[in-house]
Amino acid sequence: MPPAAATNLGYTPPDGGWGWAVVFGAFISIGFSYAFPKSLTIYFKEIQEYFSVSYSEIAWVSSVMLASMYAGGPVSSILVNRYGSRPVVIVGGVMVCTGMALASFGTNIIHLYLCVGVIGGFGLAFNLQPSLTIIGTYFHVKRPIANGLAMTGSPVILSTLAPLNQLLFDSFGWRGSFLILGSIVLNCCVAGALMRPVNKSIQPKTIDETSKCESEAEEHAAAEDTSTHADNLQTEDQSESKGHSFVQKFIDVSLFRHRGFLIYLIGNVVMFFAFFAPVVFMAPYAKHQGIDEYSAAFLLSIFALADMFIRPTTGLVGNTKWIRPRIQYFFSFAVTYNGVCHLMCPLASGYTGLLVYAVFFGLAFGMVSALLFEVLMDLVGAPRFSTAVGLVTIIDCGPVLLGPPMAGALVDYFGDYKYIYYACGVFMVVSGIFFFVMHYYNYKKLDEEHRKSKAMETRNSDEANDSILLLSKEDNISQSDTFLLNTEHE
Amino acid sequence: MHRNAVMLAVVLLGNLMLPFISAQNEPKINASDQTILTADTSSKQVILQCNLTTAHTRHKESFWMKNGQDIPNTRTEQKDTIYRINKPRADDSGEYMCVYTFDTAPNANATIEVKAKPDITGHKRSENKNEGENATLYCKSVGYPHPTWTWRKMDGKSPMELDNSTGRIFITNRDNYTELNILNLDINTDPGIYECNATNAIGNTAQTTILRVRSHLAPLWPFLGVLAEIIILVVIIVVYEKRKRPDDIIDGKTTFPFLMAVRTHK
Repeated sequence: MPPAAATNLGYTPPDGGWGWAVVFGAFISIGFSYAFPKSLTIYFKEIQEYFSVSYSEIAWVSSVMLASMYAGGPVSSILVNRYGSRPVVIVGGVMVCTGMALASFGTNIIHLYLCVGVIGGFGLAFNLQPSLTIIGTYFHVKRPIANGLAMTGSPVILSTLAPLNQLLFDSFGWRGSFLILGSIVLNCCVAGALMRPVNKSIQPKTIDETSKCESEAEEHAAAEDTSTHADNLQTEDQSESKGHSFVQKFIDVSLFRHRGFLIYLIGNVVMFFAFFAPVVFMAPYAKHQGIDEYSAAFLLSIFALADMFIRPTTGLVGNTKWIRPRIQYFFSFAVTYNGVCHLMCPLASGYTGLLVYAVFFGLAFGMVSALLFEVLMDLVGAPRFSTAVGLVTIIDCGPVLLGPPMAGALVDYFGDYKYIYYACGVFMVVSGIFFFVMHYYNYKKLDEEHRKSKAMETRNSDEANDSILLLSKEDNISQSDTFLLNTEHE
Repeated sequence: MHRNAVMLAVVLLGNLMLPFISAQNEPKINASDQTILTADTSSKQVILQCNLTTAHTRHKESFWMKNGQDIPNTRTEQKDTIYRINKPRADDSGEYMCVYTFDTAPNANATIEVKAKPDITGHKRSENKNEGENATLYCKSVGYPHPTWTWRKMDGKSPMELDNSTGRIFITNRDNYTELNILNLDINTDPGIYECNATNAIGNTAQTTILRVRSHLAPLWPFLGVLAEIIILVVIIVVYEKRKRPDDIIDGKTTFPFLMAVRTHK
């Protein structure tokens, strides 16, 4: 059993028990965060006619919502660091409900921008970050599975919301539907109620003999994860700088000096330009090739189905003892595979070709999504994950919003869809290779530093063997410091 | 005297003969009869024919027109001209004219009518509107002669006359298009199935549209229902947690006494 300090959390996460209920709560929260903006597009045509506005003005509602969701990241991180996940998720759910209910009484398009876009978007931001953070506090050994399962919420809730929205629209019109959607979104509050703060003082239960070998291998793999290597060195710096300023207590700007975080950030920015555009243009591309509307919509369903299936599977695969220590490579592979899929898409001819592409793309998209936050947790560790994800989302805001319009501009300029796929494929392959190369370098550096710190530790313990008091005092300070810091954040 | 009477007789005779002579000088066109398109003839080709039988001068060229508009690629110099309609449909019906142009005389033409039963090509299958809003139902048709439109509301299986006692119903009719506007929808009297009927000399067709009116309060019940379900779930989760809490806290306090000592020491 690796000691508690190896996880840098100061306690041993349960890795089960109530954790699975928390994963279910995160499933709902994350699902609504990602699926809600996409599913609202069904109402746009009717609202466009009702308010007599142009198509681009109506599309702004979606963009404002997405932008608020990503921009609300740091705010969400600060609140989670201060109050924990549960209150933030509940407040987020109430905010989205209020936003939708107010929007159902809207009299002009600006009203919709504010209610659905800003209030709704921030509410969803308050759902996304805390859900991801709390998984990190409840799981360490089984974290990839937990993450994979939680991220499956997005395609599942999207496939549920899409036909539901159509049904609501036919029965109640857009105003009534917004009101009812507001109440459905309150399920996020239920999810939040499930997110009990983890109990940090319980000893984990003893493992029986049969599963001992497997779980030991998993724990061994988990103990070797990137963050423990990186953070073991930085604990001393951390405990000094923590006292510095009020702002620095909540937004950990020292993250920008963290090598792994920088690699992740740069790769992510490049990747997100090309991540969502192919999904947006799949149906128009199919229609452009002469395929009818229903078959084009079916392509998207196949894509969602493949996505749904691969996310938990990726979590399971990422948890195995072969992949877990080097999960960054797995992520780089997923990104590159995505790019290769896009580059091959223009070769697909006819409907069967596009079906095959949809399946492979669904698998690729799901793999990257399932691992997206797992690798960040792996790099920065659970204590700093909340701040890290906040910074990542606000910086990703730009590429996510600019990607599809830029792709659209490409289509307008060249008149052919294949250039989008070439461009997206190139972006993904470049960022995938960037990840591969930089993480190879990063792992090497971390191994070096780990070897050095181990040498230092054995030296320290030899010295301290002369004086027992000195040893216990040092150990107690480093352990209790981290424990106190964690209890402050509860 | 005798000479004057002869001159008068010649003038009179000439006047009497004039119409016949000028008729003989006017070009005569032999055109095929009017055709009626039906469902049986939809696979047979319809052939419209014009022959220029008597002409004072040589004609320059001939072409066809439909409903007052030139049909492209029909200009020939032949005396007998033929226009074929393959697989005739309702929108092939109309007023066809073969026109002969002359250098020194005005154009001569003959009209052939191709008639068909009207065919309703555009209508909404259903219309859902909220209370107090305005609803617009429409029907588009093709076919010649242009139909007369009537709107009726179905009562069970049989159509009934529209009741406009409240003065909210306005009907606009044009050649091949009709619109029924109902202002300020009333949830009790307005919902139902409306039928637009197009009738011309050959026959009639009708299509139906369902009008549904949603009440303002309709979405309130599902909203409250979902709200109730959520409150129940949250209460269950909170109660479950409160009942489990005391056990957890007792466990926690007994395991790390030395850390607690360090805390008090600090």
